[in-house]
Amino acid sequence: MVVLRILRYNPAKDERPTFRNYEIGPTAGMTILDALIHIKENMDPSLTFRRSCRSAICGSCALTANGKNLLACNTQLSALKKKRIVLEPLPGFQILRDLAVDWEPFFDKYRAIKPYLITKSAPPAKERIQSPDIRKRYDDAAKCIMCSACTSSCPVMWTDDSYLGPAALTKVWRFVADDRDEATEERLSMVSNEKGVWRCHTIFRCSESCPKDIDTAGCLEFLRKKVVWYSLRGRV
Amino acid sequence: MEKHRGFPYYTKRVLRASLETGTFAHLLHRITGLLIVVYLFLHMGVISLAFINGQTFDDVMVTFSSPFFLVMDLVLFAGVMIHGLNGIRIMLFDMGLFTRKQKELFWGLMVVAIVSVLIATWLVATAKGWW
Amino acid sequence: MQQTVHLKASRRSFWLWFFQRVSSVGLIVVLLFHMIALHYIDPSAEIDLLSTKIRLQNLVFVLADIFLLGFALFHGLNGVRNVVYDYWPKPGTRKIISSILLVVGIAVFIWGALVLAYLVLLG
Repeated sequence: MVVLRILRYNPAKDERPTFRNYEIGPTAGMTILDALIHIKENMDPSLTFRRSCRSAICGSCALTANGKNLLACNTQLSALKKKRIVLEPLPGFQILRDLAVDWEPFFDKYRAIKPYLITKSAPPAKERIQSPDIRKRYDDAAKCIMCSACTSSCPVMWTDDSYLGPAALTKVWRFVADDRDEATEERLSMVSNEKGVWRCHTIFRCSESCPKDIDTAGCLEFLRKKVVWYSLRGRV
Repeated sequence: MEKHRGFPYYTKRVLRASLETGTFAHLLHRITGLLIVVYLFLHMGVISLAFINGQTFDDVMVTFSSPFFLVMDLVLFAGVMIHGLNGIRIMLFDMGLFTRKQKELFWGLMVVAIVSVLIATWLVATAKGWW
Repeated sequence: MQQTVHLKASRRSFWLWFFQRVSSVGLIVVLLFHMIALHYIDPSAEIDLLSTKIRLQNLVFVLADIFLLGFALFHGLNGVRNVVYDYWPKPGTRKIISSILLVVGIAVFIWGALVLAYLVLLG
């Protein structure tokens, strides 16, 4: 038997979040998400959580389990190696209800860094070609599924809501490293401030919590290095 | 509405995360850094005594050679080594190196810090004839 | 509710971060010199006013001390500023504390330089 200790909170009714325990008998290979669905279907229909794809590609089911940010759908209960599993909503966000948080500020920042390819030159007759070597430069950053596990895990986010956070900055690196993108200087200017790269203290909670094993802190450092070179040459 | 930001919120969570190597390194770096800043101002205050009264300066210096202050000097040396070596670790990251080996790098450098503090202790003890 | 995030480059943020790194490299060099020269070569030597004045007749020590003072003050106070920026997100508070730290830094540097000049010139 495993006890799932889940933080429950309904802002319309409850004064503050409180933990409630659910004891379940896990089946072989049961993930946290399976357990949550099991509880919702058989024990407590009021339990609220987000989920969609169940295969670690949509990023909806990110939550905190035993203090670590992860995806509920690709983490098996047995992998946590504990008889008591504490589930909480992602820190640093407003709780909407139970395990569902308000992601709007996260996506505000994501929109602000222009997460799309910007080209200025006239389009070529066929597609814009890229060598496999250059594609490799941002292989890591391109894996991001925007689950916000990294941004939520960053201690800087817990006091300062103006910081862009690792997810948005990794996305900036994804386009800066892409040689088809023609807005490098604009992108580097956007992150060379107290909302951007200079607030990172390389605490590495972002890299540690990434369910896609992206070296988020590394991406941020590559981006920062680029900002340094451009700044020294007076181009940012 | 439940708070989801701010200093108490941060403190509670960062302490819970402080056993993770990266967070531990960050907090250690921050605490040693702040202590060294405090020491810097005390150090300058003491040197300034020479400006005001030369005799007081010499008296204070004699006090500082007492065993208690020598141990405090070693504590300061440990703080400087931890901060300095972790600072080198941070700058390696800034150069885009070892970001996937941050834990090993931290504990490796901490071994260097411990060894250097032990050597410094041995040097001080030998010079003062503590054994 | 959607909100627009405005992003503008800040040269000052860059230079402060950059000099934090530059001063740290400087500190490693100067501090190593400071500790080896004062405590390592002869750990049993007692430091007093006279020996300090004699030491400071050597220009290398004066330069090392003035650089140590400058690097340490910048690195330390900018570090405090980084901590303040982490824990006080309000732009007003940040600005006030940054200004105080700047004034403190300049004042202490001048004070330290005066003490050093006194020890060198009137020794």
